[in-house]
Amino acid sequence: MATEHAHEQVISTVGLTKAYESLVAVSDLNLEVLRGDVFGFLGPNGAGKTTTIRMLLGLIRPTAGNISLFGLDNATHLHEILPRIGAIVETPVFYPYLSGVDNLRIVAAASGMKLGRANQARMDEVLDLVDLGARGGDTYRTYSLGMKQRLALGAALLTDPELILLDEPTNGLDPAGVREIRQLIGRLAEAGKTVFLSSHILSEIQQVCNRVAILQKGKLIKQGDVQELLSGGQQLLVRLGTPEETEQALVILQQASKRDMNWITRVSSGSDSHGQPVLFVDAPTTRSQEITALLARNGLIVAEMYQHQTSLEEFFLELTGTDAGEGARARKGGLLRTRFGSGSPAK
Amino acid sequence: MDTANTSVQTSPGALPGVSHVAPIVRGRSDYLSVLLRLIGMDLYKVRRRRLSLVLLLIAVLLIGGGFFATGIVAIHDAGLPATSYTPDSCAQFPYNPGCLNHPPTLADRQHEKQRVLDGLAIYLNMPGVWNAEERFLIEQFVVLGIILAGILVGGEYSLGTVRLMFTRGPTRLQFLFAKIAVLAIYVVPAVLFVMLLGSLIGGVMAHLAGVGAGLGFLTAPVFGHFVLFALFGVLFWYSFMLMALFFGTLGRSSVVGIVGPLVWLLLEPVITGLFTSMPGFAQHIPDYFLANNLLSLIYNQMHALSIGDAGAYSTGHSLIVVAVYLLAFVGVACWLTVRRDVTH
Repeated sequence: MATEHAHEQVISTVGLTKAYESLVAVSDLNLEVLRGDVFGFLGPNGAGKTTTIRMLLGLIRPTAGNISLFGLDNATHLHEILPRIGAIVETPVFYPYLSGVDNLRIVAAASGMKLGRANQARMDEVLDLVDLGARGGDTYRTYSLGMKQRLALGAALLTDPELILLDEPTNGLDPAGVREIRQLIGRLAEAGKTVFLSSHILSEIQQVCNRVAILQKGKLIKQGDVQELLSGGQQLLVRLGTPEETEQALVILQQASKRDMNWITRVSSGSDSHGQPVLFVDAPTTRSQEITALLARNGLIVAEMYQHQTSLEEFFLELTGTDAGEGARARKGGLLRTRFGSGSPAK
Repeated sequence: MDTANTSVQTSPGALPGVSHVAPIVRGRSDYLSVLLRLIGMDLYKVRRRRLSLVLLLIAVLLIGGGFFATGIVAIHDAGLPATSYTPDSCAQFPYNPGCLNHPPTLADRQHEKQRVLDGLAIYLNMPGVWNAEERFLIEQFVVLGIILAGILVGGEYSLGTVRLMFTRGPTRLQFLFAKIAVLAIYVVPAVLFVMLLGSLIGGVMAHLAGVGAGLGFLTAPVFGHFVLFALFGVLFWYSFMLMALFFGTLGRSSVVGIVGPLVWLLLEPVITGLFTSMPGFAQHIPDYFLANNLLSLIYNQMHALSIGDAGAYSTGHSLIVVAVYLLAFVGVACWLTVRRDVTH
C-alpha cells in the first residue's frame, strides 16, 4: 500500500498520556503510523481510542508526551496540520437546520475552501461518493443515522486530505453501507491516502487494515503488521481418526518437542469449530511433513493437516480479555484455547 | 471575499470521488482572509436559520405595530368632534391642575381635544418617538438579541459542532472572533433599522392624524445626539449579546448563554435597589454595574434631546465601565475557548 513515501511517519506519538484527575484515559502511548497505512485502532469501550483521536486533532491537550503529524509537532503546528486531515470523531455532528450540501459548504469554508459556488462541483462529487446525491438538499435533521454517518465521511473527504481519521465510521450503517465504507477505505488506500480507523467491527479491520494497534485501559498492548501479528507463532491444525489417536499423537509430539523436534514450541489438544478433537501444533508449516512422518512411524495416520490462522477478533479478545457476541461464538468452537496453550477454554 | 491569491488543486489521474476529479478552489490563507471567510460562514448560518428572521420579524412587528396602533388611536381621536371631549371636573378630580370649576364650554372641549392629541403626538413625532423606542426596543427587546447570541455561540457546544469547526484548520480564536464580528454585523443594522422604521411609522401616522411636527427640530447638534443615542442603543444590545457569548462559552450551552444575561438583566435593578439603600461605600457599588451605565449613556443623550432626565453617571465614566465589562467578557471567553479541552 505504501508508495513512494514508504516509511514516512504520518502519525507518531511518544509517551502520550491524558489523565483526568485520578483517571488515566491514555497512558504512555507510542504509536507509529506510516504513509499509506490503513491503520486499525482497536480497543474495548473506554480503552482511550476517542481520547487519543481527540488529542491527535488538538481537541484535547495531552497531560504528557508528544504528538507529531506529518513530522510536525501538533502542539505548535496544529493549524498547518489540520488542513491536511479529514476526520470523523465519534457521532456525526452537523447543523440540523441546514441541508446536507449547506453543511458541506460550512465545512468547506472552515477548511479554507473558497465560499460561493466555486467548489460546488467538488461538493456534488463528494455527495455522490457517499451516496447522498439525491438527498443533499434535504435538511440534515431528516437524515437517518446512516445518512448522517455518510455525510460525515463526505465532509472528512471534502478537502482531499492526506490523512483520514475515522472513529467508528460504520456506526449506524446497514450491512450494505458497511461494505461500501470498506470498499471506499480500500480505494482510499489505493489512492495513497493514510487511513487511521477506529472500529469495533474487527472483521472489517482485518479486511482493510495492514497495521493495527490494540489499546486497553489506556495502554498500548500490541502494535504491528496485521499478518505478522496473526501468523506470529505459526500454528498447524492436525486431525486424526479417533479421539484416542489424538491423545496418543499429543503425547508423541510433546515428547518429540523436548528432544530432536525442538522447533515445535507448543502442542495442545482441543476441538475445532465442529466440536471434533484436533491437535494444535505451534510449528513452522514447512515442517508439516516431518510431523506426518513421525506420527506415521508410530502407527498414526494424519487425516488432515493445515495451517490455522487466528482471526483478528480472536487475537483481540484474547489480548484484551473482553467478551463479544462473535467472540463468544468462536469460543464455543474451542478455537481460542489453541493459540495460547492447552489450558481450558476461556470462559 | 477572497478573490485573489486563491489556489486550485486538481489531481487528474486520481480515482474518481476519492482523490478528487473536481477542482478544489482554496481561498487565501492569511489570518484576516481566514477570519473573513469564517465571518461569511457564520453569516450564512444566521441567514439560513429561521430563528434570526423570526426574531427580527418580532422586533419589527412589535415596534411597527405599536406605533401603528398609537397612530390609529390618534387618527380616531382627531376625527372626533370637540364635543366628544370633556375636561376633568374639579369636583371629581380636585388634584388635576387642568380641572374645571364650571361646566365645559366648546372652547374648553377643543382645548381638551388638543391636549389629548398633543399627548399622542409626543409619542409619534421625533424626538419623542425615541423615548418609546428606548423603553421597548432597547430595554425590553434586547432579549431577542440575547436569544440569538446565546444560540449562535452556545449552540455550537450544545450541538457538538464545535468539534467539527475546531478540527478544520483555523485557530479557535479566529472562530470566536468571527462570532463576535457576526454579532456586531447582525445587531447594528437590525437595531438601527427597527429604530428608524419606528420613527418613520410614527411620523407618517402623526401626519395622517394631523399632528405631525415636521423636522424643524433636527439641527446639527440634535442630529449628533440622535446618532449617539442610536449607537448607545446598539451598544446596549451588543453588550448583552457579548454577555451571552461569554455565558454560552462558559457553560458550553445555548441555554446558559441565554439564561445568564436574562438573570443579569432581571437581578441588576434588584441588587441596585438593595445597595443604594445601604449606607457608605456599598451604595456606590451600582455605579459600576453594566446596565446602569449603559442606560446612563442613553439617558444622557436623551436628555440632550430634551427627553427626560440625564443619566446618573457621566458619559466618560459609563464608557470606561462598559469597556471594562466588554473586555472581561471577550477576554475570558477567549481564554476559555483556547485553553479548554473539547470533550463535546
